[in-house]
Amino acid sequence: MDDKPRLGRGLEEVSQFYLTSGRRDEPGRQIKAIKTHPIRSPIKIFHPGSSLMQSCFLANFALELARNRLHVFIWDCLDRHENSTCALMKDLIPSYRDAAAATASLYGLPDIVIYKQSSHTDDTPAGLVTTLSTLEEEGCLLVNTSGSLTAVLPDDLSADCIVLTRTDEHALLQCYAYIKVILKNTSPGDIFLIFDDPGGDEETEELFSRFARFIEQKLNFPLHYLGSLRHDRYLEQSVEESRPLMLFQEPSEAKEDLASISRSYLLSRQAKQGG
Amino acid sequence: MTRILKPIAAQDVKYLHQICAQYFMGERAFRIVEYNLGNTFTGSIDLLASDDTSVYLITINIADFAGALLRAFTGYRWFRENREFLQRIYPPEVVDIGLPVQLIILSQDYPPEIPSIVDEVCSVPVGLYRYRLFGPAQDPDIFIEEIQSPGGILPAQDEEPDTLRKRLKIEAANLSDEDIREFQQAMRG
Repeated sequence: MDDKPRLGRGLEEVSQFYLTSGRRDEPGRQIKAIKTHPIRSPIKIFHPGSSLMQSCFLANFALELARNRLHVFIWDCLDRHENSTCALMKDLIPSYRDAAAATASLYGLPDIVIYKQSSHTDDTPAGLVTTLSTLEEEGCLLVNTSGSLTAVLPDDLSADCIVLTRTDEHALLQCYAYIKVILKNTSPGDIFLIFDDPGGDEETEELFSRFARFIEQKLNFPLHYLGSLRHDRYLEQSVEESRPLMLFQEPSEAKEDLASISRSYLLSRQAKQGG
Repeated sequence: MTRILKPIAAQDVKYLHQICAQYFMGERAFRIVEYNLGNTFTGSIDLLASDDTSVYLITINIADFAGALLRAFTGYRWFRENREFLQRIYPPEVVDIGLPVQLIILSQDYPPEIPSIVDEVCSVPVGLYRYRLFGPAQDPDIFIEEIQSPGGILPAQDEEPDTLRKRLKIEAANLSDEDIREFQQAMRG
């Protein structure tokens, strides 16, 4: 059948979001995905101003990575918190409270496995990274950080860091403090910035340039910009219903932004690895 | 916030108008043209002042703010309706009554949000000042600070770096005062 422009999403794309308890065995099925090189290193997610938005972003980001055929493991340091990843994805995870690890199964997509920090030892993330390196398929470990600056403890995980921040001066100062501690205590791969809910008239790219220039001068480390995440009523609804926004069918600016941010991240990894 | 901390000795609170006039002359280089113009019924002005750019109608609140606001507005209307008369009374070398008019209100307290409300609602520029009396009633000192300049709210005063560090819970980053100031400077362009 000829490729003709069509209204809305085709069945091929929409079917990716149907949920089931089992995976469909359909090896010949082709899904449009960004051609990625293996992402073996972890990705740490920080939002100095809001653990809720941090977990919300992480849940949707994980779904987008899964949609791009990556096996996603999540190390949830907020697992005892009301804004844990499991709580925000509970629509996908039956009886998540009892298990040490929970699995979000998506029709035709790799499972997302969520490990709760409180149920494991501190060396589990390193073990997960080793597991990832032995996987034949591509995968990544997302770390939902604990939300406190004092908890950015020294560790051996060399990880990309994605920092979400509001655009007011105090939020950016907090962000500067986090980046300083991240650089001091860990060995980050790259650091990416996302502006969370920037004001309508905010010149976000200009603001990012100014902030990144300052960080580079002071901390001698380059920042990368993944875009901004606008808020809309569907984002609020998704949080209220504990259902990730990426599963909504309604047109949503926030959903577009989440998809665009995820795509920018994957493309940047592709470019870095010479793809 | 521009904070003027200039103590002015006073013998009694009843001299408040004179003390405020002294402040505006000393700190703002205003010329005080008249005290207590108009009357309660048609509108009154506590101080009529001027400089080379504007005429200032100053209201000093010693009771409730709502009453002072009403006095300021009726005083402005009285001034506008009697402009020609005032021009005949005061020679141009004393005050140019034709200059743009600004209202100034001094008060010990303000309702919350009043600077932004005044800024949004009033077509005439309004300056707001807070005064505080210290010391014994027989010989108090007065401190005056500007909380809104005519035509706009003054930018919020920067918090002390230490307060900021605590409030934002970023002590662990060990950002020095200098780091924070450099950051603020860089982000403000």
